[in-house]
Amino acid sequence: MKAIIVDDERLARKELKDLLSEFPNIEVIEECDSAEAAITSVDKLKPDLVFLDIHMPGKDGFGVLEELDYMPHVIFITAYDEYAIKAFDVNALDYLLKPIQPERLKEAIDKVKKEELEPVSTNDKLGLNHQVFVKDGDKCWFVKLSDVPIFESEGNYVRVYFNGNKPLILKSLNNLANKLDDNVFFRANRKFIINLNWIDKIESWFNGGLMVKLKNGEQVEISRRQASKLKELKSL
Amino acid sequence: MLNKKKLYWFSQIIGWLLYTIIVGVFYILTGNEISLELIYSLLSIYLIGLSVSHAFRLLIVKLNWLRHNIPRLIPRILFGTLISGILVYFLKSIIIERFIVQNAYEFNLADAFPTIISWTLLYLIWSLLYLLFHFVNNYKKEEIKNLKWEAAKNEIELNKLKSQLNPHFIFNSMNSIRALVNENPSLAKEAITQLSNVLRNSLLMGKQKLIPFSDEMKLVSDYLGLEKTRFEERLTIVRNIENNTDMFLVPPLMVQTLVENGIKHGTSKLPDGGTLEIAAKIQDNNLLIVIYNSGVYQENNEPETGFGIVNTIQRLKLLYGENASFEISNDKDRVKTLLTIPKETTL
Repeated sequence: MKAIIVDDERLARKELKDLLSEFPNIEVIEECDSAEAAITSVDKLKPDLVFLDIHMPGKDGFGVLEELDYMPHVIFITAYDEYAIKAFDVNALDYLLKPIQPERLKEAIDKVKKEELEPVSTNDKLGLNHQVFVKDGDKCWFVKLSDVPIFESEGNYVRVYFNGNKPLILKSLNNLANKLDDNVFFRANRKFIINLNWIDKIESWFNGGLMVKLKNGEQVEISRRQASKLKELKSL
Repeated sequence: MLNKKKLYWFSQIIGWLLYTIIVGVFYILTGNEISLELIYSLLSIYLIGLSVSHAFRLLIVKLNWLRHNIPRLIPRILFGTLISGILVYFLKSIIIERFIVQNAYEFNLADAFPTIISWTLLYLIWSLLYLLFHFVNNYKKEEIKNLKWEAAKNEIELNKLKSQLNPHFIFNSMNSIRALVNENPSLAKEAITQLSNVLRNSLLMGKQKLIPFSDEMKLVSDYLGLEKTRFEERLTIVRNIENNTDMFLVPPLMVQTLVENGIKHGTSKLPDGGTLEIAAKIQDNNLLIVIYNSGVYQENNEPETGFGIVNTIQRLKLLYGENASFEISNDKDRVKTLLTIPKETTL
């Protein structure tokens, strides 16, 4: 596994690298000393795993994730931050506390190995097995796209529906539509993108449009123009 | 509940009424007949007793006798009650003898003395009741004030403790030391010593009220040493401490807290690092401590700094009243923290 270490303190990076030398399957391909360097390196080098310090000058660890196009596995690292840890508890994201205990590091790495996430390749669009990082106030999640039935446009934001949560992310729906795999994620109208795997029923609607009922109970109208596209997709 | 003024008048009217009734009953039981004269006499006793006691109270309020402690209050009260007794004797003699009984009034010491003494004693009892009420009332107020002060003090102590042991700093230092063990064992040893000193001192010093400035600066140096190990070339430290400041007494951990704040919101937030400068000198019998750190101070924007600042201001106020001062402001591209501590002579 290729890994990148992100921490603003040289000694902290060195300490983690020393600890990781015990793991032959982990190869540290880059060390970043700032959030900006991390964003560039992760998008360019596309590692399998990133060790990410939460507290950094300028942008913090969450800020890094919010700007990434490519999402690797992430293990957070923090010295002591009750708020961040509280945020993780809800979502079971993995984190390590400084000074890092070798046993905890092993556990975290084993967990990454077990998770069967599709390896993400360079130019692919975001498919069902990808995950996106979502932060809403104090809470944060890694959301698997297969769990998302709807994206809803709200001005400059997009509301992401998953497991009963509806947090906002700072992205435009158009921008998101370009990144998502259009075999699965379908632009229903100006306001919604729906996940075709979540469709429960389709009914005819006025003016040649369609009304889609999703498995989570939401109903989304599909405009006439998009309806013909959907029929094409489905009939294929 | 009745307010104090109502309570006073209620007690006055009822109290004197009871007294007059008792005197009247006593007269009748000792064989006097119920006559118009007796009723008039009792009425005048009632009014005289009431108005003289009220005049006495006005005097107590006007001269603010209640501010005195008991040994100073007793002679005043004794004197006041004696005067009241004499006053009552003359008023009573004039009104009752002249107008009601219509005898010619003559002064007679043997007759006057027991009357004056009995009225003086009566006023003494009145004063005791009056003062008792005030003492009980004030005692309650004092107790509430003390409890409030105690609570404020405890809160400040707790805040002090909270702001001292910053776990973020401790665990980051431990992490740096772990890395240093292989890379630079002698620096690792030094860092362990510094960390022990910081931990020990923040536990011990916190219990003292004031410590010499040189002790505080030893702690600050150990602390800065650890931060230097952690941030390496990103942290520049400038010290400018005049020698004659060594024995000046300061509240423990106050400068340390401010320096720590300076690093937390300065160097540690700046990708290219920053400088922390600390200077101290004596001026006009005050100790002036100035801390400069890179960065920008944003009021109300950082709850944690706000906490450290509020805590510092509270402590200064508790220790020095209005004689100490604390200022934090932006000075070009850095934050200036100015602390003025007066020379403590009463400790």
